[in-house]
Amino acid sequence: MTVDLEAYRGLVSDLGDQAEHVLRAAWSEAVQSFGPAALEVTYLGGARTLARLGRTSALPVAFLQHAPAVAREVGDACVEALVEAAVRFSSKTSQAVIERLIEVAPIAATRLADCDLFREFLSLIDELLGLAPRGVRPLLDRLEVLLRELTVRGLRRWALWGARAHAFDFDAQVRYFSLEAQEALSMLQRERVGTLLVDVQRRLLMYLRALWGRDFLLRPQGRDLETGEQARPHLEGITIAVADAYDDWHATVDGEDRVARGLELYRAAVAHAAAHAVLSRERFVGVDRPAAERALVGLVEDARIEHAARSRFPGFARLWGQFHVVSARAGEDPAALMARLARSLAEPSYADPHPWVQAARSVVEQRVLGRDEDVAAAVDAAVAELVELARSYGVALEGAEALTWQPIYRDDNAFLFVEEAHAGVADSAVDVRPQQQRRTVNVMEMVNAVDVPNAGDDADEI
Amino acid sequence: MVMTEVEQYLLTEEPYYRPVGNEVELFEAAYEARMPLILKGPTGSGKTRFVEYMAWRLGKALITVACNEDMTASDLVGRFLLDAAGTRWQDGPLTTAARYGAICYLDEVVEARQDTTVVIHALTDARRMLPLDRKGELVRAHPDFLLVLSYNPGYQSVLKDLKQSTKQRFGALDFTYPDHDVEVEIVAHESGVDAATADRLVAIAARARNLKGHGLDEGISTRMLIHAARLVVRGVDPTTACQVALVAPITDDPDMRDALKAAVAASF
Repeated sequence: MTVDLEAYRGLVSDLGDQAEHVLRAAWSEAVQSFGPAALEVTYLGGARTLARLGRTSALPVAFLQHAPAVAREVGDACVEALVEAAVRFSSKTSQAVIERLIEVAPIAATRLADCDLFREFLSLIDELLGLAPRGVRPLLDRLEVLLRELTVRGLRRWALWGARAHAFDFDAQVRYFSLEAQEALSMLQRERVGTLLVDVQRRLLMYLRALWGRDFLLRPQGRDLETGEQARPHLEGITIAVADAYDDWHATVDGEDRVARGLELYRAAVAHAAAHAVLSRERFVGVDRPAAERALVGLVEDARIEHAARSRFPGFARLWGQFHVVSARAGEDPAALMARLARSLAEPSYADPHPWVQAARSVVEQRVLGRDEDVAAAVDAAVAELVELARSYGVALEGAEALTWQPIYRDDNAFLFVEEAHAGVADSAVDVRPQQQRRTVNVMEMVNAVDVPNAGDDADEI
Repeated sequence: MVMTEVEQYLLTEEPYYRPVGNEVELFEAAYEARMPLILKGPTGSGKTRFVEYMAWRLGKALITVACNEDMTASDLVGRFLLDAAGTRWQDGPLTTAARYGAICYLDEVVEARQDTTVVIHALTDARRMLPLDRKGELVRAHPDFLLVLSYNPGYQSVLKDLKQSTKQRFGALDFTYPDHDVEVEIVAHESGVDAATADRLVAIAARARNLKGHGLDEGISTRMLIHAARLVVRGVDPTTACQVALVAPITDDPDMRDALKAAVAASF
């Protein structure tokens, strides 16, 4: 469908010649990036809102030029957030800083690749305008370099440290946020992370498609703002939410150092979540169930799908096995015993000396591993037996529900649990996207009707 | 003398070919009817080996021409050459095959320009003749003559396609990658690798074929699998063999290479 600029001419006629010129140049990209409603309300309406903030047309011009790229990367809701932020900032800073923010917004959108993270970035700028107003402009000027090295949470820690350290020294603020001060580089080095999702997302998607022959979506999720903890991967249909960045992973196992690169950790995490998406077809009762039992259900189902995946892909044993680092030395508290059971199920050659772990392993191997029908019933029965065994061996499982004992690559298993009425029902959420259609057309039809310049390999139709 | 030239194209040993369907019977029926054939399929799927096998089975000489965009009609039908005695006519491969009853196989025919391939029209309809305009001769095709073309539909484009007037003179056999078990059998036979390793290699190829159209132009072919298996037989570690024979040749995209490499690692 062609959206004619002339139909909207009345909305932008008072923005000036330069705005009209820029709008003409950006129109094609805007039409592809915004939905029909958002085109009028968010894009053109946003430009009119910004025009009221300043005496010149610089803000609407910058917005008309750069907003389509933001919408394309993170959606038009984020463009609305950008306009709202600009309005809010207009009472705190100069028009030039707001203009610069709009100019670099596509960089933030591209690197962060998620609307929530983009909003976090705007919220950080808001906070900095109060704490270190002179530092915002230089930070925006260096944003590309900063986001190449840092996640939005890392950027926040780096920026807030500089803002607090130089709260009353404006010159020092400028040097810090321009990356001219040595301490700024040192802090940057401290906050930088091994591997950013945005840098490896494409290869991970190809990896998953090669393995399972289907498409998945990856969504970045940041660390918890208060605790700084990295949230576990989370699965929802075909969308895998995974850390926006992973440091290289280090552990010591039996006196031996073990290291996994960030990319390897990403592979382990997405391969595990994708194995769930493909192989965990039944759901479990989650409501009103003791938390320790829920944790056991997750542990047993993890073991089942990993066992099935390893039979297809033997290399997964190495990929996942390296992250199981617990041993008898970890002790016998509930979390340690759960971790030891998880390892003994993931690594057949590992022999744990604890009698409950040994008995539990035997139950799971006999009742659950290798099963792909009536899974919910089998897992529930196995879990009931594990709980009974725990009672008979005097093992307390309460306290193991926090999932901290799970190896780092495993997801939160939240998707496994449903209300009682839906338990045991095969899940149909997987692979609901229509298969990609391939059409052969003549050149003129491709140019006039079919071609979508921004479409990637995952387009609905090629 | 010329008969000797044709005889050199006779296959003396039976080429290994593992039928995947009824393609052998269909080819024989087409040959009896002297119906020219197009073999369509991805690269490395056994088209050339099949036509070699059929030539051997039928006891006919096989003249193969690898087509390219610089090829002219003269390269197919022949040309006058200069020598000490003046000029003499040199038959091209198509004329030789037509004159003496060989099977002429034009490999990757869409690589040739469309005006070049028009020269085959008179040979592939009821006339079965080849006019040599420059020589002023009309060659009537030998009763045993058959023309076979092959091309990869994946490489088709507006610029590289056969004219409808060419296509409609042929029957066509579609080739694709064999089923898993058959491909395992082929890889094991051609390379000498054990069935378990062949099985894993074929599974890797199946995974890479998931990426066709998603960053890969073409899937990993049976031929590439045989290359990898031959390296394994010579003591190369399977993961390295896959890297050398499967991953590195098929793409230069670093992300794709990484994904394929990781998929290979997951398989061993």
